[in-house]
Amino acid sequence: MNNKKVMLITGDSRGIGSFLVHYYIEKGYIVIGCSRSNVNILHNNYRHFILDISDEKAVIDMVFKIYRYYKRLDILINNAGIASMNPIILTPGETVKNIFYVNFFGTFVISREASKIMIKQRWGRIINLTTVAVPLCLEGEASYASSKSAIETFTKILAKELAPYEITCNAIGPSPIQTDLIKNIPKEKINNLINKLTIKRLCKFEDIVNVIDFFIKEESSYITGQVIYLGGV
Amino acid sequence: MIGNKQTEVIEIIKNAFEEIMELKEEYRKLKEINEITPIFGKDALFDSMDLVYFLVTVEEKVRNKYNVSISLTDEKAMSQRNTPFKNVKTLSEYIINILEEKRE
Repeated sequence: MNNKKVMLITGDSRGIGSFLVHYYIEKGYIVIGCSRSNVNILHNNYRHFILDISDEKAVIDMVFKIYRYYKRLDILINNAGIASMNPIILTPGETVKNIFYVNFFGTFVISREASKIMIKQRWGRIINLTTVAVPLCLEGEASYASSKSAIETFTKILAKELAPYEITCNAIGPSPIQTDLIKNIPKEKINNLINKLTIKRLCKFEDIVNVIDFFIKEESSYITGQVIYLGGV
Repeated sequence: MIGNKQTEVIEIIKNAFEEIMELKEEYRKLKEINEITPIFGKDALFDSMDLVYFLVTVEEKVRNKYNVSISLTDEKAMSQRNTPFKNVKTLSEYIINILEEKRE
């Protein structure tokens, strides 16, 4: 077994996921990423899987390959997610199903499979990505925020079920950050949202890794089932 | 009749039992593990958390032995009228079925 910690980051082709991959490779982790498309990262300590995280069989197969190759999985960052900004009245049912499938079901399945390895090694850190849209109950984000709300409840229950095995499970809820997820939202709407925050600026990638670093460090073994929102929500 | 493959799988399940018995003293009262040793239900030894650990251990041992990934908590297992978790023998039969399906 290698001595470096193995980290799995979902949805790593762009945005937050892509930043996290580069950051944690730099910090000396073995990083495994997965997304629906390929990525252009060539590094000895990086491996990428192309898959849809709502495809249960593909997820089971990926985690099996990770186990077979590395014999360990220490950290899981459930970053993959999709969004749809529309009033409820204008949201097709299929859109809601799709959002829940990727955001919630995908997180559920991958956490379940990763937990199996972590349970056996009696150590693990699971970090889920949520959003400030949950506590702010933002109009136009019903399906997205509800799927993340489900993730928050899942985080707390998973934390309880995995605590006996020294696995912690926490969530981070970033405020708006300049990624593809918000590129189609009018500037005025983003500004309105920023005005609802205590600290009135866009979130930076560094704000996110600061919290993730805190959750995954050895000394955070007593921190579990928590949701930390950024920007003072 | 129990074939060679089933003997192997039963051995895997017994090893998983032993691994948990090593972890918890209260389980050591189980003197012998045989084909009718219950896994889940009112006569079973484990609480639900240890059942999780037990099943994960069995999956890991199957993975290491046969180089395939199996899930003992899939819909098929949970929806069967006769639960595969009744005892060591029924679980071994269930695992062999999964292994056969994976080979096809």
